[in-house]
Amino acid sequence: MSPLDLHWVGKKFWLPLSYRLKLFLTFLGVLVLCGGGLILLFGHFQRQALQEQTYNKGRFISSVLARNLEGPLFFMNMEQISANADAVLGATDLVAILIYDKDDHLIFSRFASQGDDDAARPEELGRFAKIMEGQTHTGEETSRTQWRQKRYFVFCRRIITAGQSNDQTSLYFDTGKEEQRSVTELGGVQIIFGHAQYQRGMGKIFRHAVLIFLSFLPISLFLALMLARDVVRPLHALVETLRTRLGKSEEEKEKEEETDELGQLDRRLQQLVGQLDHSFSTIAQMNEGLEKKVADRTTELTRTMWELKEAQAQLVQSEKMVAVGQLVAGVAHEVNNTTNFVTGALPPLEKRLDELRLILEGHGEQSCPDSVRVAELMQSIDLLLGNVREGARRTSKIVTDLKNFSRPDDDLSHQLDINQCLESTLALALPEYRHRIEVTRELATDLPKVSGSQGQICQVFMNLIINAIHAQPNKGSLLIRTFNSGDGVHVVFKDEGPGIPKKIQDRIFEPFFTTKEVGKGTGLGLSVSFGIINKHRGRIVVRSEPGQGAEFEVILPTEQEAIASHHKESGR
Amino acid sequence: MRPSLSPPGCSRSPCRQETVISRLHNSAQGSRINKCCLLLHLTPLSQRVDSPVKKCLPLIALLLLAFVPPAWALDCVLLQSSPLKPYEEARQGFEKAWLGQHPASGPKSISGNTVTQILLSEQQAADIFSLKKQLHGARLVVTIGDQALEFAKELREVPVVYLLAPSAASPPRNFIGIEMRIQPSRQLAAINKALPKVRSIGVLYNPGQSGQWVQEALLSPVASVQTLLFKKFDSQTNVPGALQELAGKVDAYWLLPDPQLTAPQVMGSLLEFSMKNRVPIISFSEKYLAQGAAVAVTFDTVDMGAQAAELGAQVARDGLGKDIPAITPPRKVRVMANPTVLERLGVPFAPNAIDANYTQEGGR
Repeated sequence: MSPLDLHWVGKKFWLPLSYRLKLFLTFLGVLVLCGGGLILLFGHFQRQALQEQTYNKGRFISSVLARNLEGPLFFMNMEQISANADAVLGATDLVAILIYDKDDHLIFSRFASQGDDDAARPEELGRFAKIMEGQTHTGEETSRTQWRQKRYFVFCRRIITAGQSNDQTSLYFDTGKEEQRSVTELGGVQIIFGHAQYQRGMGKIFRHAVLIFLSFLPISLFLALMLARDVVRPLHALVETLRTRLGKSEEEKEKEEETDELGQLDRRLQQLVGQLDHSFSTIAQMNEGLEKKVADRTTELTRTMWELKEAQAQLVQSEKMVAVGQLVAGVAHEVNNTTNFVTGALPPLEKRLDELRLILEGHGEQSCPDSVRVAELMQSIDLLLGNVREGARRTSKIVTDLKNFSRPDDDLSHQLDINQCLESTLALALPEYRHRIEVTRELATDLPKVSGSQGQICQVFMNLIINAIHAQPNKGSLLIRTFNSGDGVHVVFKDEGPGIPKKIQDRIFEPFFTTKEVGKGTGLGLSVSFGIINKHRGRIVVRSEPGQGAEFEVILPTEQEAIASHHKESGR
Repeated sequence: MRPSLSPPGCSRSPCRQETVISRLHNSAQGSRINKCCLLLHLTPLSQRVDSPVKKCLPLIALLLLAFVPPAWALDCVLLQSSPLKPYEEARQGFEKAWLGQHPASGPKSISGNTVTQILLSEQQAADIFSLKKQLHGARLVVTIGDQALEFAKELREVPVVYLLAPSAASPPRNFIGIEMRIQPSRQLAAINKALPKVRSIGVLYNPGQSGQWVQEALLSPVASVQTLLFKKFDSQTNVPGALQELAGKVDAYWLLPDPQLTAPQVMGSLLEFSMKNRVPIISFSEKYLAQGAAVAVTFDTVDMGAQAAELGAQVARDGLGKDIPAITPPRKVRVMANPTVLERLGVPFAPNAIDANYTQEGGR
């Protein structure tokens, strides 16, 4: 790029200095305006001072002249009057001196030899006389200034003289106070200044003001230059610092250099603000994501905590059930052994009785003295044996049910007959409450098998049955209905208790939530049941209206695959 | 030093009424008492007397005084118009002379003469009545100035002596006074002594104002050695013309006490005449020395006060008799000069005939 390229020169020297130039011109303008204002003010004061000086001079000269003319006018000594007027006229720049008698008739006039000849014209003299006529304050030494057609300053003064004293004492002594003398008006004196003299004075003042202004101008230029330089220097440094920090490309640099320092600073600041906005938005986004993450983690932790609690509760329950199961299994085993003695002894006993009956029948009536009695005994023995057989069968069934209920089985792959589970559970739960709870069974006969753990399912059924019984402390009823639908096997437990309030229906499956009195409920029954059914990929639905009882519906899927997949997911 | 009972610095109280008692050693009366007291001072003899007798000597002297016939002192009320300097000088002269006067009657007195001073310009309007009552009860009233004379004019029973009252004209019979006019002959004599080279004196006069005085001057015995050139004037505007007629004919101009002549514009003409023609102005008051007069032939105010005191004492002792004239001229002529003016006019003067020279600060 050639140094002679005007565009390059302009960009290199003019544009970067444009703000400085603006500032310089602004400062210069302000300084010139201030200086001009001050000079105008100075001129105004000078004009006022000149005017005041002219007035004072006029008043002074007229006063002195009036005093000096007092005697000559009293004696009408025109020679002395003329001498006084000539003396004043020669020593001042007066245009004319006019002297009037007490009737304001012009008795003497003297004009400056190089003054304004117009003042001597009759019409001007007539105007001056009119002005003098306005000075009719007899007995007072008053003066009045007149501006006559902007050409003359006219000062008037009445000439008065004191008469003889009325105080005889003052004739001899200086009494120290103004003597009371009669005052006589002798006439008036009028002195006239030309406006040209005043104009010359004003012109002189104007020239001085212009001279001062011109002297002030280079000082203003220098001051403005220095001020602009001092102001722009830190600005320029700031722009350079920002430019270095932001690190722009050459193209952007050239683009910025087309503006002045303030524009560059503005551009840099806008960039800086943009970056800050971007940073703040990034921080805000990160903050928002972090909050979401925290919320998700919190939710996950809450769920994990709940699951942990549930697992802990199930573990506790399982341990208890294991212990109960072991106990029940032990007891059942022993009872079964004992029962085996009975059941084992019954067939041979019946066989022996049959042999005995045959014997008796074979001997006839001669061989048995009291055959009637024997027949009654045999009948009684058969009845008793039947009772023993029935008792043994029942005992075996009870033992079997206990074994089924207490079987520690986590294997969910067993095929369960839900109706059988219900019967087993009812057999264990109902005997105690049979006298006050009427149980109605509506069990479908076509229920398919359900995969799961019989012990856990029976535990769920037991919890629901016990809750329904406890919800009806007096007489009550319990409807147990099973049916099959498309989504699985449904087991409904419906009681006629007080029902569950709406506000706690969402919480009844929470661990340790109970409405029972302290010590009577652990709050784990429903939560454990929920966990078990959930483990079997089923669900529990509760429906209740206050005062209309409660209905729990357990829905268990029938597909084996679904349970298997659930297990796989749970194992992860 | 003015004898006064008032403390120093309080002589000008707003309502000044002071009583001055004469000192024994200053008066002849005191000297008579001193004769009685000589017994007290015969110490050489008394030293030879026994001590009890010595102790009794004062008592004996007092007993002797008891046998002296009583003599009443003089007392008067001095009514002063204002504290003008000439009035003050006259008062001082009066007091000094009054306190030295003989008692009113009797050969001996132990009480001095008294003067009750009243400054009229400082009296409140509410005090006027009591003041007049006081004047009516006085044995003698002395007034200084026109205002005081005017105030005392109602007095008929009390003898009144007035002085420095230029407006006094035909006062009542109980009034006697000292006029301010000095006889022309005495003035001419003083002028002759002070300005020995002056032979011709010009005078402008208004017949209505100074006609009588001119007649007296013409009859003055000194007039033989001095030529008086009188010019009449009717109005002030005629003064320059009259002066023009005197120009070159007179060696001095005698200014008469005429208000028309002392008016500022006329005085200006007189002074201009004096300056142009080298003619000294001889005025009747030292007041005009400051304006340009060369010599003032006037009265002595202090002596005029003393003269009034003697006049008053005479009236107090003897009453208003026919031998006391109603108007007495001042007995002492005082000549003052403005040496600067005299020197500039080139007029020779006799310093020994000048009582005082005018100075700017000391001029009255």
